[in-house]
Amino acid sequence: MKNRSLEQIFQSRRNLMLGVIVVALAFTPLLRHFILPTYTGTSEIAYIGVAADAPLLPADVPDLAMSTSVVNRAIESAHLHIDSDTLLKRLSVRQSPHSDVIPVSFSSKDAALATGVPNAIASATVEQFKSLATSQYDELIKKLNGQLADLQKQISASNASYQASVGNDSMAGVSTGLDLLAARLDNVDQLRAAAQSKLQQDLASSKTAETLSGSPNFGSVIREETLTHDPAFVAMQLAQAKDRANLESVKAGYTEAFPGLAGLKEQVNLEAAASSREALVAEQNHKGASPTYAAQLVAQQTARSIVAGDRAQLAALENQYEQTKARLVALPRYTVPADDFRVKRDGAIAAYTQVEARLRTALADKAAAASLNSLVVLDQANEAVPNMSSIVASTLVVLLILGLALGVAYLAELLDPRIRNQADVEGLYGSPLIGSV
Amino acid sequence: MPVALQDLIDRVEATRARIETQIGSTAVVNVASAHFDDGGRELAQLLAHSFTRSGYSTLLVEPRSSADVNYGASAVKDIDVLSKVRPARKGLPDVLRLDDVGVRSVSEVKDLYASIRSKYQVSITSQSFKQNPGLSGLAALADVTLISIKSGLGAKSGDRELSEMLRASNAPVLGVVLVDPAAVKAMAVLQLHEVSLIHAEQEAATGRRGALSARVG
Repeated sequence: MKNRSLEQIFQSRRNLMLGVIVVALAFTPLLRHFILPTYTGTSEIAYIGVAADAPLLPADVPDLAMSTSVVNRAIESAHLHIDSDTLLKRLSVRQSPHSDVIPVSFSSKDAALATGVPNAIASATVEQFKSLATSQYDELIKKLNGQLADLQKQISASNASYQASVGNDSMAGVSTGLDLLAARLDNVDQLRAAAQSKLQQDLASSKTAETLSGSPNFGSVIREETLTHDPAFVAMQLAQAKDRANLESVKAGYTEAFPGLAGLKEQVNLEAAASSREALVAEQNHKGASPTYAAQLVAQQTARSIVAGDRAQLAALENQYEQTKARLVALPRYTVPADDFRVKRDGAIAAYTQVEARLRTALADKAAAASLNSLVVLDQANEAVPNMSSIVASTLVVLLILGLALGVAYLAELLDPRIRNQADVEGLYGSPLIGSV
Repeated sequence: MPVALQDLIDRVEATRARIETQIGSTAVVNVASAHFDDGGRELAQLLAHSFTRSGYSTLLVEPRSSADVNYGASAVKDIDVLSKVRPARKGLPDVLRLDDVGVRSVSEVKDLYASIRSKYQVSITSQSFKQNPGLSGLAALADVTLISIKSGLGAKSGDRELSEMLRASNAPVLGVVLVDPAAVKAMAVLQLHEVSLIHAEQEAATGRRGALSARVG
């Protein structure tokens, strides 16, 4: 059997090869995933130990870095999207016997992961080491923090009770409350006595004013001022005086038999009666026209007002006196509990201060322990190093696709069970085609 | 006459003429096929008929009709071949069925071929390698071998084995004849005597009959 040449095979299988290339191009991202370079990132941890009782030696650091606790801590803290088993398979932590610098390397096709993992492992290792070095202080610090919390609660409770007691009477919170209230009571008592005395004086003054207003001397003056200021009465007095003068003139020139005399007399009498009536009306209704009467009224009102004010002040002082007296009696009931709560609160504050000092000391000791024996991240993995360039990777992808197409074509030729044309027949039997029927 | 059938006859004649140039006065022509349905038997029938119509005394040796033939203990030399040949009808080749002679060894096949060479100018045998691989291996005993392949799609595996066998036995392979399935189907429909009548009509029209009769005589 004559085999067809490769050129003939690829020529006849060109459509298949083209199809393979198209399909392979469609899956190029997948191919690139398998061919893409592997990146390696490396961070460095330095061991700094000066104390003889260091919890871990440099040789222990690789085991620590690759421990489950550190790996899980790194994955959690850096939010790495990788499981711990896969991470451990690609992680390398090796310590050189002549160096205290321990490189942490990780390989991945993801460049970000190649740098993120060693950095996270280095940080987690350092944190774990610090945790081991200072673990003896952690329990003490935790206990002291618990005590501080309890004392804080006690202080708050005592202070709340104290404030509640003081709220019943502000003097309950003052050590000299009783003395202050007693002094205040005496003061109010004195003010009350003074107010009483003033009231008596003002009552006397008011009474005097009332008495003066009723005096006869003032009555004639007031009557005269009233009538003088009454226009009707004054007009009547003038008319009466005129008629009376006329009457006297008639009497002097005529006898009793004069016929107009009786009429004049009657007129004068009538005017006198009318004047008297007007005087009574003026005295009753127009007394206010008298300045003296008005002054008396003002004086009386002023005196009454002063007396009323004195009475009100005296009543207020009486009330204040009674209240102060009542507070003075009740104060001991509040003072005793407030003192008790204050003592408790102050005691708790003192204890809090002591525990706080112990906590500060423990924290300082812990820091000292951490600094004496420690791991530090000496260098971060800032760049991932690829094991091949992207050009090489792309070339590999192209070659792979071409090789795949050629290989599939050749394989298809090998596996093709069909006789399809004259060339196939002659190639298969090595004999010419002499005819067809 | 359908154009397709005429074309078929023309192709058979051309193939027969090609064979004619390769064989001597007497010859056993072996039509080998890899599969039983490659059209080998039909090609052998067409060629036998064509040789007969060309004036050759022709024997068509057909394969057995069933796979579970019991060849029995009889030897070829004890068989009177002619007694087994179907009475010849004019224009048709004599037919010998291998079922009837029962050959089991190379020497028996040699005897069979020597016997039919002595009686006929042309003997046409058809053997399917798939059906009877043992006999196909004896193709080297024939004077010329044609390979029958069904045109169009076909399985390569059997052909590869047949090719290897023919090459190993140094069989005198003349070439390959592609048998169109449509032609095979036509062969199933048309009987040989119908084809013979068609030939007779053609020969009467072209005056070849006289020439052929002179050649046979």
